[in-house]
Amino acid sequence: MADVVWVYAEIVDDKITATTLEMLAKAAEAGKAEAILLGPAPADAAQTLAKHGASKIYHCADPVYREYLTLPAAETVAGLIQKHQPAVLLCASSYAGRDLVANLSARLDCGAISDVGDFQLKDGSVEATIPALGASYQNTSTLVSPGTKLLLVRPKSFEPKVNEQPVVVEEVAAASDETLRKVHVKERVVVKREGPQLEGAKMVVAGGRGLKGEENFAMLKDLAELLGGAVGASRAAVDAGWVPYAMQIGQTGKTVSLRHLRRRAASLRHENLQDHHLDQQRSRSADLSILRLRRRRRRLQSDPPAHRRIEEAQRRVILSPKLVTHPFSLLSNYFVGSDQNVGRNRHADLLRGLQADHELQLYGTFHRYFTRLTPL
Amino acid sequence: MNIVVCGKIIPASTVTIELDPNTKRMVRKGVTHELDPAAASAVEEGLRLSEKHGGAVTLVTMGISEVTIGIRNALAMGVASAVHILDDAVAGSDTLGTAKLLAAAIKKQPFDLVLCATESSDSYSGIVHGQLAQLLGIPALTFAKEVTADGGRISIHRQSENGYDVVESTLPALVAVSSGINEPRYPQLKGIMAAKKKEIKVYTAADLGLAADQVGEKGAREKVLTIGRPPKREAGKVVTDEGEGGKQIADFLAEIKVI
Repeated sequence: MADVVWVYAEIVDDKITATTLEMLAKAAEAGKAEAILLGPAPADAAQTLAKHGASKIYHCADPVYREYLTLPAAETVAGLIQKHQPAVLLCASSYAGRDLVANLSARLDCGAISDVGDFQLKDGSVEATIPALGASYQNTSTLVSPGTKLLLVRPKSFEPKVNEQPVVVEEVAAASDETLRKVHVKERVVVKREGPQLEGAKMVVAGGRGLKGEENFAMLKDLAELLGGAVGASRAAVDAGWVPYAMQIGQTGKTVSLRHLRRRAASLRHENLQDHHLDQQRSRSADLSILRLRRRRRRLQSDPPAHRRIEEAQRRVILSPKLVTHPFSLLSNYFVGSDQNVGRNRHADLLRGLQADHELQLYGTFHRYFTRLTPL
Repeated sequence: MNIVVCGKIIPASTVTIELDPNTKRMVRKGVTHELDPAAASAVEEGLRLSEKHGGAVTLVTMGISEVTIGIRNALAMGVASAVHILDDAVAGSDTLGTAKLLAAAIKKQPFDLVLCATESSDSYSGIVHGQLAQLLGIPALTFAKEVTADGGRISIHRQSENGYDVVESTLPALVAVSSGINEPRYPQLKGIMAAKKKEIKVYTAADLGLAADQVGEKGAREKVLTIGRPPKREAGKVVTDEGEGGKQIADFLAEIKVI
């Protein structure tokens, strides 16, 4: 069936997820939208799917899909794909979606494309648009394997549309094989959050390490409340324990559309990494080694411009306590070290400013690296 | 407990990653590499589990000869031995091709637990571990922010949309850890010296019983058609608060129709 696009519907908090509805809108635009709904669902789930463009729903309410991870769903969906051969299966780039697509692609020996931002369907072949390398590239890819194409779709890629369809619900048999009950979900722990949820929020007020502490997130909460939005946080703030993971946005957290990311930097990948590690630095600021570095810095104060730049470097690049105690440090006047990928390009960028009056030697060791500065 | 860690070695943090317009792949040749921090977390978790429950940790990786430095770093952290899939024929493998090669290499030794990162920091497709588990015929426990092993069982805290799920399974199993699950250790001088003597087994695709058309660009199902730069975004606007800051921000938000 060259123009049938399936959407794997997900339920979170007893509701069809927003991404499911977004994918249905695109599926209905690209061809004939059909949905798969597995596991216990709210009473109006089928109705919601039909209202957003699904003309057929493959349904099974068996709790096995909720109690056991991935394997029962993969077995059922693989069976349905082999029977009906849809052109495309869309899954959200969510926890369950990613696991399902990975399993299906190995099971059916077909390819899969991750992180899809948009796609075109033509005569059964797909051309997907993927933002790559922290959205610094925009690539297009296709799948050359015959059969159903598996795509993992980024949330917020499409606008959900009300597009009521007459719907046929086909009940499918539950995956009953005992060998599929391997990964048991014993308990679901909900971490309480206040205010509107990020997923459905029309607006996100995001904060990061610049807020300097848990208490300052209250300001964001007030602003978000006034604007009717939700509070989001960068990885730095989450890793510091100021806010729960559920509030994290960006590559490793919740995806929000770029409009919402207006005040945050372009490179999600780099920012996340940098935020993360810079933050670890702050937590170590009382470390003795840092004090030693400060003393060294004071010695360099006779040269104000360099001093200012070093201060800047210290503020933005990690001064790793482990690295300053490294044997090399005995040989040099000043070290700027980075811990675990911190700073990435930022490390090099900053030090470039010191090149005029310092000799720079970069030592790359493992995922930590450091630069020896010797005044000329 | 025998643990295999699948870790990717990627262009180092000091390198700005570029895509080659001809091959449409990431430029890796001649570029300094390092163990992916996400993979380092998986290595660390493996070492912690082996310290607690006994057994050795083996690193399995795939890549060009430049990745050896990353393998040595993992060995310096305390990994007992390493397997390196090194073959020009595997260049351009897609996720499934990569998973097939890793699965074949892992099957060459006994294992109870396979540890992976959730996604690599360079290409972050995030599905290789799921494919790998299916190819190995073992269950996948993913997005782990805490891992505990007890006898023949493994239990994790799996990130979820609104908190976490406690998920458990019997061994053998595959666990994909989230970044930030731990703080990877820094290799000590003793470890660095010892790493020089540790064994790195090198396999080609043929050694692993995979034909040239099953792997690499030939075997890839995913074909990159075009690479390009997205439209440039404008620079941000900085508002300096001189008593009117709040008003200016509100005006700005109104201007871009956020409020």
